Amino acid sequence: MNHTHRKVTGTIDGRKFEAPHGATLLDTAKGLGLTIPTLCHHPGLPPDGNCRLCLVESGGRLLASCMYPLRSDGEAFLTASPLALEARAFVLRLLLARAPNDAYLLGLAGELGVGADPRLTDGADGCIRCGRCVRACRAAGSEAIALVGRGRERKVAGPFFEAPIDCVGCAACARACPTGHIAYSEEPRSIWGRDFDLEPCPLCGRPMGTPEELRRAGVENPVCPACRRREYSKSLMGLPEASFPAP
Amino acid sequence: MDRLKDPIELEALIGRLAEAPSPRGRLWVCGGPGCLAAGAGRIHAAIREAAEARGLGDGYRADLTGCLGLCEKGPLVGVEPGDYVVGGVTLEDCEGLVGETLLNGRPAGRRATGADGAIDQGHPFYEPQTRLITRRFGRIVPESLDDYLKTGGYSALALALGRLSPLEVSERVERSGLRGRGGGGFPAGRKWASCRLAEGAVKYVLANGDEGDPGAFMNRSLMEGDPFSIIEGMTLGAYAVGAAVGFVYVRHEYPLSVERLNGAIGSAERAGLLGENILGSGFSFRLETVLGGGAFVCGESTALMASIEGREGQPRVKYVRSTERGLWDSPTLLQNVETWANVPPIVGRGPGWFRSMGTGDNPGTKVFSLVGQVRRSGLVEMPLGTPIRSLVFGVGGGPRPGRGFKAVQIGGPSGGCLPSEALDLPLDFDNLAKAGAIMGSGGLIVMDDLSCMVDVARYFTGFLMGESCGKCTPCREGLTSLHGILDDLCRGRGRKGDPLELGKVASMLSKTALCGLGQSAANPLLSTLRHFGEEYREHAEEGFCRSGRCQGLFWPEINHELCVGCGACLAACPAGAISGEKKAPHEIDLAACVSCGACLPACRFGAARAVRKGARPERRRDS
Amino acid sequence: MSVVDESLVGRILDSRPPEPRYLLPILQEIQAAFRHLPREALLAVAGRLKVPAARVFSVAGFYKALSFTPKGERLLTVCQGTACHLRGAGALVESLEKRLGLRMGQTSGDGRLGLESVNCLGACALAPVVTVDGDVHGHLTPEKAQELV
Repeated sequence: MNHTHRKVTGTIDGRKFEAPHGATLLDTAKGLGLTIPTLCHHPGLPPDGNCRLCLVESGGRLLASCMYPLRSDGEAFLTASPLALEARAFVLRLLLARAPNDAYLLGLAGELGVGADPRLTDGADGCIRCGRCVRACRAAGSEAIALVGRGRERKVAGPFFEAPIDCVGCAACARACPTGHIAYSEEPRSIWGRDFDLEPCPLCGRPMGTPEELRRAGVENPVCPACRRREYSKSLMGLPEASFPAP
Repeated sequence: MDRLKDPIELEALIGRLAEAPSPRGRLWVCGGPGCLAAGAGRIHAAIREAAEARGLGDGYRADLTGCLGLCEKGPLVGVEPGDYVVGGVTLEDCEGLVGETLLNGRPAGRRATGADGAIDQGHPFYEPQTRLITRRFGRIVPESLDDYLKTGGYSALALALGRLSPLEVSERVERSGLRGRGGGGFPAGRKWASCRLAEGAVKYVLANGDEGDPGAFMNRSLMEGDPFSIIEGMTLGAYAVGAAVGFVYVRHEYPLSVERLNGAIGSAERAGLLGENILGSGFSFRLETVLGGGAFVCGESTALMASIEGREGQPRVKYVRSTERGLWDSPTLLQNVETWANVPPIVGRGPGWFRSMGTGDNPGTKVFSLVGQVRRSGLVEMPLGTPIRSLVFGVGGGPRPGRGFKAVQIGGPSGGCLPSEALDLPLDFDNLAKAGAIMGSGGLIVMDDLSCMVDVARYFTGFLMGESCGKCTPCREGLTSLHGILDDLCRGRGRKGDPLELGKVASMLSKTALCGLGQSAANPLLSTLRHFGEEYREHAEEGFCRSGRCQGLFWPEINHELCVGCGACLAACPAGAISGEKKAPHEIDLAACVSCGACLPACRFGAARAVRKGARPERRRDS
Repeated sequence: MSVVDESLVGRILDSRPPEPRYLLPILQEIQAAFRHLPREALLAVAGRLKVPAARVFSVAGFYKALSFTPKGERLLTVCQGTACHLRGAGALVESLEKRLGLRMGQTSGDGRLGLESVNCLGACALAPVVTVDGDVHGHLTPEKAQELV
């Protein structure tokens, strides 16, 4: 069974779509210009479906649109049905209890008219346990942090609840965090209670990463991304250097 | 045992063993979880010692066997010939059991046990049962391959490898109508077909023995009482779907189950019934056990697989079935151990025979653990479709003396509490689901009029809160919110709108959680809310617990017409608030009473009961 | 806490192929040997299985059978199964906590005694039950439970 070129058709909010077999519901909805709120989803990371904010109704069932694969024709989805909105409001009031000051959550909460669950005020540390940081760390090539513990005790941590020993200071975790929970500084580089040196780009002199991060990348004679692009284009087209703006 | 070369050799061996003469006398010491806890190991040793002291020969045996069922009267010893059970065996009884019963065939003194009469196949506990999965309990030494073969074991594998194609084996299971014994009753045949057809160079078969439901010990009894039946079932499954490797995932608290399974796996390998080129057929299958780490969520299929892979037991979003992409992303056939144990008789005797038990949509039997506030706790096997009443009242004997039936909780933390109106429902997957419970792995917990349904909901919600893996928002956060409301209700801090709020949050939790466990986590709450809404209202609006369970939310009262003056409540009262002469009605001094409820279960005559606080003067503040 | 018998950790690691799937069984054996998971042992496991320390730590923190702090030499375990709950396990817990001055899940200061709960022991007919180092005591009342101590 080779599905590679098969197309699947159906409707989202009454609008017809045609999508590659196996495409996610979320991506397909986006293609139609529809907005489904998400938190644990990040386009550059493997989906996890844990935050439940992107739930969408189909035939009385709620589906996590970030992971639901379109595999059969004729399915109809509703992103703003009463059930879908009720589910979103429910999830939102639980998430708000964790991150009561997050602008994105507050914006959605305003639209739906919900506040934080009053019984869950004790855990308002700003982290919604979506694990985007952990997935970003893994995707970047380390696995320095993890979600540790169960239930409401679960939290992001390095081994032994200490500064993560395998951290290379790349800050991918902090950049992936949807609520800005992971404190860090770009320059000088400091994250997870550890300070890192920054290596200057041999061409332009701007900081291009921590030595540990560059070692992890395993590139010989690294240069910063902007210079790399410039050098690459130059070699490709033989155009004079002046054609490229300095970074 | 030498390696068996082919199915014909195996069939011949089964025949020879079946015809071998039985011992002249045999004592079977129950090795079920309840009896082991009650000291069956020491009983077995004492019986062995007494037998050795008398120099009994080969004609007599005394062995530990699987669960004999009637846990309430444990430790149990089964007697052959005669086919009856001796209950409440003490170390002092062992000498007599050997000298009189084993040697002279004279029934042991305790054979007639009170009002129930002799504990034999005619006893109300045993008489209504149909034993298929538990048929070898009390008949074999669980780790003995010879005993398994002697009782027809491995004849299905001999048939399959000798005469049936993998497709034919699969079709027998598909046509049998067997449904998964571990949860909602998903048709096993659909899983088999799906896994058989799935593309993949590597496939796995798994058995779920992670029996995490509190109050359930069916799977443990099976793994420890007849391990080969699970192994043979998995071997047949692997042959049918084309798997070469399998795992049995066993709950951390069950080290004996792992030991028994590992022992059985070793024996099967040595006999050529597992491993390379089984019975010379060219089919190979390797089986291993995996010990869980103490996490209820690992009973969920995808979490179980993650745990076998050496990761945290976190469920994954399951839009692609495990039969397509499961363990290590390969097609995987996962079934409960009891489901697997059904496979050999189905393959061996055919789907038609299997369908002769149970009902059309729910064929076969189900093993239940019947526990709680019931007269006869135990392990029970009944045809599916049996009315709940015949289990609770027939087999179990109903509530204990002086108490009334209130509810039966079915299916563990994912199940629900059903009221007396549901007693005539047939126990099957579909009827239970309609009533708001699930079959689960088959735990039945009887609750009497002293069991508070709000407290029961708090108990299960608290259990699940502690076991939630914390991956998805609704389960991680929502259960804590629900538990907070329930705790308030049980402590007299409830508010009028609480039951409504509970219902709303619980139903959204069911609809939005990521995995099956999260989606069913609100079932104990939702079912009690549905069937016992009045108790919630009383807690919320009147601060009253009619069951006398929630401390401080009632006054105890003694009905003088029912009180016989036995003094049991007086002895149980920690506050010294009860007084009365022997054989004269007792009194409670409410000024001294702490409203703990200890007197209520102590009364065997139903005289002590809980009443509203408003009906009596409040306790003095200064006391 | 560097009094870890490294050769024992080494023997446990040598007993299985260095594959990530053996992480849980190896941690269980270390737990059995040391009554907890010493830091050095966890790092050794990470190194041998080539599993990141963060994952070893999160797996260790997920399963109840594993603990970062030593469990008591003797264990008092109160069954919290449904049958035991209905028959008064809650009162046993209260009584034992008071008597021992320990909360559930805690170990005494000298490491001699731990008080724990278990979800179900399957000895429901004997409910409520407490085990002392694995020996089951059934049909307990708060008073009888105190005698176990």
